[in-house]
Amino acid sequence: MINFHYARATDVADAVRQIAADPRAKFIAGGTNLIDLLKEDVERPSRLIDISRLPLKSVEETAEGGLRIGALVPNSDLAYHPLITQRHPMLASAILAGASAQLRNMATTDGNLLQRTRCYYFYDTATPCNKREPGSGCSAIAGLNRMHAILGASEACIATHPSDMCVALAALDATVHVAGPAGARGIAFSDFHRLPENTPQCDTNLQPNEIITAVELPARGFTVNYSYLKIRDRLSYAFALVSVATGLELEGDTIKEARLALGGVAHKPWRDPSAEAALRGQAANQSTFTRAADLMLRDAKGFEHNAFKIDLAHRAIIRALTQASRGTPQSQSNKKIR
Amino acid sequence: MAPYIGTATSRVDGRAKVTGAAKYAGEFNTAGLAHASVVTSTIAKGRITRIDASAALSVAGVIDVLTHQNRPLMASADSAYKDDVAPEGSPFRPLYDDRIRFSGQPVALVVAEESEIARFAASLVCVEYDEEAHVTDLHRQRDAAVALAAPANPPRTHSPRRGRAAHRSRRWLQLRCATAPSIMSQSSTTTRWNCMPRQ
Amino acid sequence: MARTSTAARSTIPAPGKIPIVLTINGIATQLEVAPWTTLLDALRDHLDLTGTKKGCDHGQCGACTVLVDGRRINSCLTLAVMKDGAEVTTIEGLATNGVLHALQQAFIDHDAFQCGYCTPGQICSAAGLIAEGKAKSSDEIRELMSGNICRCGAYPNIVAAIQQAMGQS
Repeated sequence: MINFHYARATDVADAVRQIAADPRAKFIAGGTNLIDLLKEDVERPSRLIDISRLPLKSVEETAEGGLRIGALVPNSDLAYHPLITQRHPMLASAILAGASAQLRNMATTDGNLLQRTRCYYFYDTATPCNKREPGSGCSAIAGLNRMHAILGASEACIATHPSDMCVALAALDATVHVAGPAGARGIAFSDFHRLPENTPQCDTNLQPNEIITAVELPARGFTVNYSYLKIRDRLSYAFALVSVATGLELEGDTIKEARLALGGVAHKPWRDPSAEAALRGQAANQSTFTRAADLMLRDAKGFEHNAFKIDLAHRAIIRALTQASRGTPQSQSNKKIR
Repeated sequence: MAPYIGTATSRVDGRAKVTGAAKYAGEFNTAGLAHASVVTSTIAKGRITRIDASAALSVAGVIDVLTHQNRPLMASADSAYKDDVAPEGSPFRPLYDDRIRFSGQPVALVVAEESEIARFAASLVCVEYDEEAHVTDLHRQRDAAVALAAPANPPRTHSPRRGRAAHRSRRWLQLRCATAPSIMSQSSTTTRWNCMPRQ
Repeated sequence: MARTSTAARSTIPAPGKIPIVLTINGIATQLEVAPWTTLLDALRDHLDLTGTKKGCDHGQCGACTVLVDGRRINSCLTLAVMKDGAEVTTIEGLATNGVLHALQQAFIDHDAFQCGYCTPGQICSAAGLIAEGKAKSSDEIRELMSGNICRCGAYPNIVAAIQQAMGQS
């Protein structure tokens, strides 16, 4: 771990000022990913700016009937918040599928969005990694790639985004509010995380010196017909091989509105408008769900150790949609997948 | 012993363990205690050609950097040394020589006044290698496999009955497979994890 | 061959220390730590509170679990300086006047440990779990304790001990 300076930010403007003053500085909030990366010498900041005491810790209703989640709300607080459990249970379920209780108590909203891939080669500074060192190569493409991407990858990088919460936020059409030297702006969630392309060193479209202040959810929450289905190598406390966040609005047996996002399969939560369009107006049945799964995965490409994810994702999409259509979302404590 | 088997018995060290009073290795603090961080090899097979510890040695609080080049003489490093209670084979000899035998092999030990200083200084140690091709994947070497000759006199097991039962079960399986209505054939690989108590 | 470090030889200085206050098991404790010192190392190395264990140092095993301001966290993944002013409860602080906490007693009653290295983390985590009030069934206890690993495999007894402490046995 590098020897870094430590400072605290007193407010958002002060945080922006401090980070702009030192190009090698980083914010720290929960620290559950950053401190891990510091210990592995993957991150070597000159300075840590502690934003954990900023007043960004509330969940409030917006004028449009949505919710505004402060950047520093701990993941566990968010998962158990009455406004979230009542209006966006998909989000609560996804959060509880991730990490451990201790980590959820420490991790913040903004940290969950900004957490970095857990690719073994990204973590191992002795191996080439274009995300860590642009131009050095990607060790995963011809290496061990069980946890890696089957969608949206590039020749430069096949890493995945590890978050569960982000998959639900993608499905729910959240907006990320940021503040920076140029002022405040909102970023549509689908535009927040990037595909690797030939710039895998950039995980997100945050500009330098911007800080996330809040995540906003629209009013529509899929309170009855939703599911977050996570498939992993063990029953708990592991990253997704494949996960599915889905929400439906049904009128009788017909799908009026549909959201479908995949985790564990790409550099960002994966949504496909054509798959969702193929659900809308259709009967909520096996053949409709199969068509949506076919569309979601039509460009899927597997590598030596992760090609199984394509079929797994196909089945998981159909199962999650079935669970959602029946109003029987996957439980995150009873692991049986019904 | 017999009355205790199968009987729930409170452990004599129970109170110490549930209150944090039990001391484990590495928990005996003393004045002037030094801390060390291990530098490990980044190749699986080859030789160390150069170790540059100058940056590590220049960190305030670093006491020394031990490598195969300057480690003290140790009886266990003698090639004749055998550990009476260890499994057969050559015992692990840390910092023995310049040969790298496995990925993650310790190649240097940074000793410092504080653990974080040792860890930081360890990240500054530069090691150069002559790398050799390594072979670790059994499946990729199958073409080079050599058939084992069946022993003329199969080794006796301790329990003759157990040996016969094993032989019978193999024949039983062959017969059953020949007449089974359907056969599922699958190969699976166990993970590399072992579970051992921490202390 | 051993050399002692001298300031004159050093070109990379040691980090400066920052004074902080932690209230640990009810006692306000002043200490000076470098920014890079985790809460776990502050407890074990600086304060000789070795009850909290370093199992993996990467937030994956839960042996370092302590309660900070009443919440269970992995002390290996937070910096001591970040917790300046916080109230910390470690395994050493759970018993009151020599009387074991209900969880500690339950772990003994149910033989919920073997080597004991995960045990302080399990107990502090369970204390946090009970305070959170979310676990009702054994499935939920298991899931919400999944951040604590036991290589001796004492899990069934750990769940039973927690149930006893929760008054469910």
